Amino acid sequence: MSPPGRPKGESLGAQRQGSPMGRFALETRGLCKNFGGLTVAANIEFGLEPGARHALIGPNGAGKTTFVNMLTGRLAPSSGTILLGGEDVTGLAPEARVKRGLGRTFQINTLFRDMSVLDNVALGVAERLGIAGRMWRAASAYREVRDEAMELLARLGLADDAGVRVLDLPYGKQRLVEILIALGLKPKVLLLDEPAAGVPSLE
Amino acid sequence: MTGSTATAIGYAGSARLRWLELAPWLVAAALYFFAPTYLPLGSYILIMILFALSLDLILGYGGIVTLGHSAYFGFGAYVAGVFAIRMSGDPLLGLAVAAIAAGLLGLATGAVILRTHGLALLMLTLAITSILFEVANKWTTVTGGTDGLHSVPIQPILGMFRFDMFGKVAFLYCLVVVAACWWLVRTIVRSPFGVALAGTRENDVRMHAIGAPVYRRRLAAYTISTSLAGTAGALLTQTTQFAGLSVLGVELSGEILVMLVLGGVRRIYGAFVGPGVYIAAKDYLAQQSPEYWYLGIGILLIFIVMFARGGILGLLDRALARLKKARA
Repeated sequence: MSPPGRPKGESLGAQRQGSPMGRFALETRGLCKNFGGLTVAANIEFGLEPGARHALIGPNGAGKTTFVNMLTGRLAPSSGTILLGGEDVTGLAPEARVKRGLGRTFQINTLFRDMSVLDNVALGVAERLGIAGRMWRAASAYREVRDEAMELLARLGLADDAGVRVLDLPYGKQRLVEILIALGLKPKVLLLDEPAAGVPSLE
Repeated sequence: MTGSTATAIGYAGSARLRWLELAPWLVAAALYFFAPTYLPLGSYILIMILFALSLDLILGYGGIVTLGHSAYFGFGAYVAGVFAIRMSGDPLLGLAVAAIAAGLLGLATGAVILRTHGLALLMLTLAITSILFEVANKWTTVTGGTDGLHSVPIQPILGMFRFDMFGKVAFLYCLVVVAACWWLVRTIVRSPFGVALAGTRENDVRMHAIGAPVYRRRLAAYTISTSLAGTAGALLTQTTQFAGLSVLGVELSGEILVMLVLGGVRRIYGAFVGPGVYIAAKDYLAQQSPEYWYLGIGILLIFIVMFARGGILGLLDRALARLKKARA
């Protein structure tokens, strides 16, 4: 994130200023990531207030995605602490962080490519509602999942594409599905990793 | 799933039974009434259908690639045999014990091997079946070693239906068990769990990112699958009254994979078509050319893989789609 010499965490939207525990929805303390001798994140002090929107900017290779991956648990930090709603989640698995309200999208589409648009969104909704592990009734019997997924699709103008296989959608719409999956989780903190990356301006 | 799959699963799919889904059972009924001399072969095909179905659950729906599924089939076969010899010859009790034992073995081994992916997973599945093969080979006091378990005593089903020499009771017994297991698998793959399992196959990174316990789901599917494989193995022991080392061989793992690919992976009914076609072709080709029948099977497989992705059912799907298009 911050190579040696760069001001630590200064490019981030909000900085921690000795705030009381729990003020921030998401907070990092002294977060570092090293790959061998290469430091890609050095001592990041960072805090996001509830309800606020922040942009994290930096050139290619600056470590934005690495930072997001550390926050969401895909990458373990070399040192430091990550707090979600005041709770230390540094050692938790990605799915445990999601359950605590941390959602994300991916810079490169990470979709269920061979599944319908509806199922892509419904998977997240079902997971949030605690229905995804049930195996004795057909998925289609859970109307609340389908209705909520359809509502989300309608919100971004994808209702007509509900039955289309995601792979067959234009790239721009795939990016929207990427965001909708995350919205289906109703996260307290949503990290959008370059949501418009690769989308032609017309789309 | 849409598009590429024949079965309508997912949150917009229908769980209603379609008429076409009755076809395998009508074929089985026809075999029973019109070709009684083929009932032993029919029982064997039904057992392989159940075995293929169990593989389809993890390979087709869960994306768990394995070359060691015969470990659970063979384990179920031996457990049913040993249980009948040493404890009770009640077939239903033996079947339940074998299913539970194979499921527990699946749970224990799956807990270790499902932490790996790709080639490592493939090697570990091979290792499990090889280890069990060697245990069965050396533990002669229990397994009979290379001689296997002969003349396994099986009592009448429910104390009423004795296994007859024409294989009628055995066929009906297999038919009922396979139908029950088919319904179970059909229910699971259409359920939210089934859709989530398909999600882990499609993209496990994303599944983690939506908060899904990917490992636990895969392990649950693996346990159910291995239990079904063990049930199939137990059926083989009970209907033939024999369990030999071949049920634990790597060759059987490969063979069941070929059957499934032939019929069509991730379709449920591919597991019905594949074993039927494979065993019928094997039977016919072995009669025509006892030395080179494998060549025929090989050519058939090459044709399917090269020109009919999705197996025989995939081929039929495309033919039907073209027909519909031509009519429109």
